[in-house]
Amino acid sequence: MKLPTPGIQLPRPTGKVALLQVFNKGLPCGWLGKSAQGFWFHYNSGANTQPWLCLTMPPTQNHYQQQNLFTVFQQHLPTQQGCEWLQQHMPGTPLGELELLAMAGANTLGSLSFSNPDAPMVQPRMHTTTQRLQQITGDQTNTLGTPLLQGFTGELHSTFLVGNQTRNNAPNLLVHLLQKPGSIQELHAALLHAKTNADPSNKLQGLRWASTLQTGNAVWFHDRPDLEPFQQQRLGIDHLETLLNLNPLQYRELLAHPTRFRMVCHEVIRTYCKHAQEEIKLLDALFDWIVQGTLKPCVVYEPRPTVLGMNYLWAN
Amino acid sequence: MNVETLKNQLDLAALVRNQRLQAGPKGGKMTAQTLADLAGVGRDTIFRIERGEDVSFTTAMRVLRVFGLGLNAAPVQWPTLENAQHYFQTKP
Repeated sequence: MKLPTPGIQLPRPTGKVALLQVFNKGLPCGWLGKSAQGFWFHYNSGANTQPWLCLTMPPTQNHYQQQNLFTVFQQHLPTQQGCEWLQQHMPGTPLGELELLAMAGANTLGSLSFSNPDAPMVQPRMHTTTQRLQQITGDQTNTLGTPLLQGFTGELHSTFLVGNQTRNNAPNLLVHLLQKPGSIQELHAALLHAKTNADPSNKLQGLRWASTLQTGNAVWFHDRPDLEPFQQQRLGIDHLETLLNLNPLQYRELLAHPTRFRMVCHEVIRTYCKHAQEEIKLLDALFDWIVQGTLKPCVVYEPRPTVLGMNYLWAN
Repeated sequence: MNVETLKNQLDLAALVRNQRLQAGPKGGKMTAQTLADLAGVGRDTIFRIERGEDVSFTTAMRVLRVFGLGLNAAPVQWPTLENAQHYFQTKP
């Protein structure tokens, strides 16, 4: 496979990772480990009032165990194609699920971040002005920012987190390096049109990021979809696969049955969302892109938890 | 007594439809027009309920009262890891 973005510096795991510390909104939340029986997650404390790891794993239960990696962690892993690309470029380095999560570290979308307690990695946060972003071209991406592990080997784009100098130190922009700029521009216009029609007062969380989008030479940047705009607090994001407890293969099987998938989506909205009718209207407007795998539906929430609504992220 | 938990409009739709199909003469079907007349609402409102669309609380209660049903509040938990697939019926 062609190297899409030369110059990206990814942290390299130093060895096999047996245990990961999980943080929620920057505070220690629990431990994720792997044993012969599969994966386990243990909350730090038994307090029911602590932030939830995800909507399907409340702290009312302190310990979770299952054979496969919990879907809330799977959503931070790169695609299969991305994993293969990484393994090709890091031969001899063990790249299991825990090693990939350790590589992702704090460069995740949502309130969760990870650290390997045996070899913590600290990455400097990069700041890029808006003018600089607009000047950047494909061969200058090494100065752009911190690659978001999940999106950096996608077919259409690579994704970075960068900070804007006009705000505080936290990275607050999501930057996509475009491989096919023309087609993405058309898609964005269509998405924005659908959003404006279905939610004219911009009441819903869904696709708000699309209305803050700015385009540069070969980049596309907008506000992070997981950042609360006033307090700049990171919000929880649970992809639909996480809410349904489906692995990527099972999710694709569900996508192959659009009628059932639509019913499931509607039920998710009715279960979690306050403005159910408006959310359903927006979902229906975006449904074709979701079924095609262009957009990924997710639920955005304050990790206490208070659900803010549905959002739709760019799928890898 | 069999208590059914209504979590959303779809559950109400299924309940009203099932009740109507066995509330007619000799346990058969009651027409939507009859139900509408008994509840004092329009026939279209009955179909709206059965499609899972939003109706006012008063309207929903009027229709349920025709079947001798009332509402009883109960805690409803969000689905968890163990029951999410069953709750959202992801499998046919």
